[in-house]
Amino acid sequence: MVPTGPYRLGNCDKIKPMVVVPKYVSWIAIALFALAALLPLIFMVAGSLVVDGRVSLSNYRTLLSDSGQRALLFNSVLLAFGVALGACLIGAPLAFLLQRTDLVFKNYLRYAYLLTLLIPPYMSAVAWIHRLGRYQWLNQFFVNMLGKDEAVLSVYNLPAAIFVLTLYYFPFITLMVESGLQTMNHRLEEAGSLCASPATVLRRITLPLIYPYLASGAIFVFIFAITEYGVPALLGLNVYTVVIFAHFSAYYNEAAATASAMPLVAITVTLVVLQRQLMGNRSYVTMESHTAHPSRIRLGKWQGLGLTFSLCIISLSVVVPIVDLLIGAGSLSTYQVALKTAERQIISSFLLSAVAATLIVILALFIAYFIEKSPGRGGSTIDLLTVLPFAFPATVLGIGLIKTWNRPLTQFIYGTYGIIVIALIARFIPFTIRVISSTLKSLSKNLEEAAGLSEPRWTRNFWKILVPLSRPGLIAGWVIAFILSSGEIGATLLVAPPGEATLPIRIHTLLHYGASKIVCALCVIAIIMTFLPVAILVSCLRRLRKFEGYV
Amino acid sequence: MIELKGISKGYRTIPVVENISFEVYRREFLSILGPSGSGKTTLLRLIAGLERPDSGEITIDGLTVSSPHTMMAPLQRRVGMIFQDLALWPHMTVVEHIEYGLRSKNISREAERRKVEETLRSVNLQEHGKRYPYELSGGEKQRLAIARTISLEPRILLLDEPLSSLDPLLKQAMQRLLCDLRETRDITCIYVTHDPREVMNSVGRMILLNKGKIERQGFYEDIRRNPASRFVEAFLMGTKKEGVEASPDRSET
Ligand SMILES: Nc1ncnc2c1ncn2[C@@H]1O[C@H](COP(=O)(O)OP(=O)(O)OP(=O)(O)O)[C@@H](O)[C@H]1O
Ligand SMILES: [Mg+2]
Repeated sequence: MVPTGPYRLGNCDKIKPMVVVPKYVSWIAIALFALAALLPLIFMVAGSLVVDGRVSLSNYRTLLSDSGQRALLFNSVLLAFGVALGACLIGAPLAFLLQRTDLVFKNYLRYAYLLTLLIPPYMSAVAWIHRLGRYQWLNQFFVNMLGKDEAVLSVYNLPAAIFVLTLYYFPFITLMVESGLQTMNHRLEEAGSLCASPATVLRRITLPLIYPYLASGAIFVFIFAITEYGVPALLGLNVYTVVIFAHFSAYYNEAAATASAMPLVAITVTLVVLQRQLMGNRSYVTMESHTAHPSRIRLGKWQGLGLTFSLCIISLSVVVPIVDLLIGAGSLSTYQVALKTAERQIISSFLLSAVAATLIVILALFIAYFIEKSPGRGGSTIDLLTVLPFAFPATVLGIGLIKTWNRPLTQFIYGTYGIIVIALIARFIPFTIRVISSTLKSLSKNLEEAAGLSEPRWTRNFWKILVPLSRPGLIAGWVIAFILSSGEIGATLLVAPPGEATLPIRIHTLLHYGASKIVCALCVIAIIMTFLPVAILVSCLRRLRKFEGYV
Repeated sequence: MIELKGISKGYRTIPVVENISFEVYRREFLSILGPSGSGKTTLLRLIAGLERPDSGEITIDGLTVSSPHTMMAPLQRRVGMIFQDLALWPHMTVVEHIEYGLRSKNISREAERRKVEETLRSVNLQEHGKRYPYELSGGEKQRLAIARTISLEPRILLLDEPLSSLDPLLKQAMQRLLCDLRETRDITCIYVTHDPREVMNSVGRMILLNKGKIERQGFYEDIRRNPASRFVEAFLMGTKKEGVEASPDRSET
């Protein structure tokens, strides 16, 4: 009863005695992540500093003096900026229409716009190339009548690339803004609407509150666009990813290629850090059930306009490309031929994406758990490290992977499908970690502690409590990783073992001979291949809704 | 017997619990009272072994379970805790909640089933075995949380404001349930609340916390008669027992 010992502040609050996943498991996951995603980057950056066996900045010096480099940077930034801006202009109003108004067919439109993600951007590029092919007579007409010396309607330029990529990436903005609108306490808006007009509430309350979501969505899209390889390559644009690839495959001078990517990496890393600050503890994707928001804005006579806007976007991004591809493929027999020519790639693409997505989700869960449970320096360092790979162009990452794994000892990985899986993990784990950690954030720690007080084995608590509770986030993470993986081309193109290829690579190769019927048919097959597992999982997710809101 | 010796705990640089020492005897029903933010939950978490103290030590039956250097795992201490937000698992049915902890105790399926049934009956939930937490009322949820904890036969039961969200009638019923449980099992209870009305019928000792320090301890009647400080007086204000005349020396403002 006698008070003993002076009060002293220890650093013990950093030691959390009760965690479901032991630290060492998380550290294993972090080590695997570093091996797959960080090591290539280190190898590459280090490699660019070595010239003729000596440390030198000469790769960078030539870079500064090269005016072509500046044009390249300008082009890349312009492309990414255009895409980010376009995606905001489309994505944010759509999110608002879906979340805050009484737009008709809203529930169908929510699923329809997500279908966009199933059609990789290189495929829409194929579709648009194909479409303009059919309008050749129109170009001929312009050339003849107006005396222009080149085709007016062309897809081989920057605006076309911006257009195609915008129509692919706007759902990321919509998802983020929707999650912002959903998690926002609607009482705030209601309190505002008692003393101001709806327009004022929108401007003074809603917009400032969703600004972090919009801005960080825009940053994501900017980075996705600037690191994108497929579309610029198809449309013959002079941007970093394409030039790096060309440099590498022509001269095998990866040191110069890497050095030339560094200005771009500097930009993206800055943006990634900025984005983290913007988002803070906010959630990226909310999987909450869409309960009726009490203060919906009645669209009234604007209903038509809202519907036209949404339908236009969805038809441009989903319907038109699919119809184009279907027309392009023509008869059913084309599909038979296509299946026969690319049977192997279809199966391997599907399996590789599924395996990669599964591994990504497992690693991401352990890493996200570690980040969530480690307050202070340690957690935020790991957090920052896990977003780094995101900032590197796909082709740079590909070169790094080659440098890391192309050694006699690691041929069992490099010469096989293993390297593709590693490439996919490195490319897409950062985004998945964000999605899963926002789910973990929403779980009360008492749920795990109650488990720890009932059951000593962490494995059982992990499988029976943590995994089921974070299932919506895990499924969403898997779906995103699977979709992105099955459309990846920038890194896989570089590392794919000779003779083995994924479906996107096969399509890319065939495209050199023009957008043929077979290519269109293969695109349709690829879309179906991605759609099926996603559709099954999303319907599972809807059934899981029954627990939501009670977590 | 649980003994706390000079326990302190802070988050970052802010002390939350400061130099707390007290004892709890076997089968005692100890109440810990204090306003919101006074460190009650933190104190319970320290006893449960969910937090590590910055200084001081906790012993159970003479064995040191918590100190800045040693931590015995919560399960080995055989403590049960009922969380402030109940922490029911949304994806499990009532029966699954109870089975979950029993599964780790090498008993036969038959014994397990009987144990589940018996536990559910003791909290009067036997009809709702197949339900999920969101299909239960507030009182039923509370009883499920209690059932999940007592099925593990803890030596020490820590209750963190388990009744605060219930209406007065239900509250009384639950308190009776807790008393019954304590009498039929060999359990030491530490009951935390911010509402003095919940403990004024209690016969056990109580501890009054204020800003992480013990303000007063003893029996309710003694403390009420002789508050000894402004804080205690203000905190207990308006909690006089039904039928007892207001003593002239206590102002009712
Ligand atoms: N994990 C934490 N990190 C930082 N501060 C914390 C943490 N947990 C509790 N605190 C702080 O410790 C103080 C005491 O918290 P505690 O939860 O123990 O209070 P309480 O008495 O249970 O209050 P209530 O009656 O509201 O539940 C509060 O000021 C709280 O802000
Ligand atoms: Mg509390």
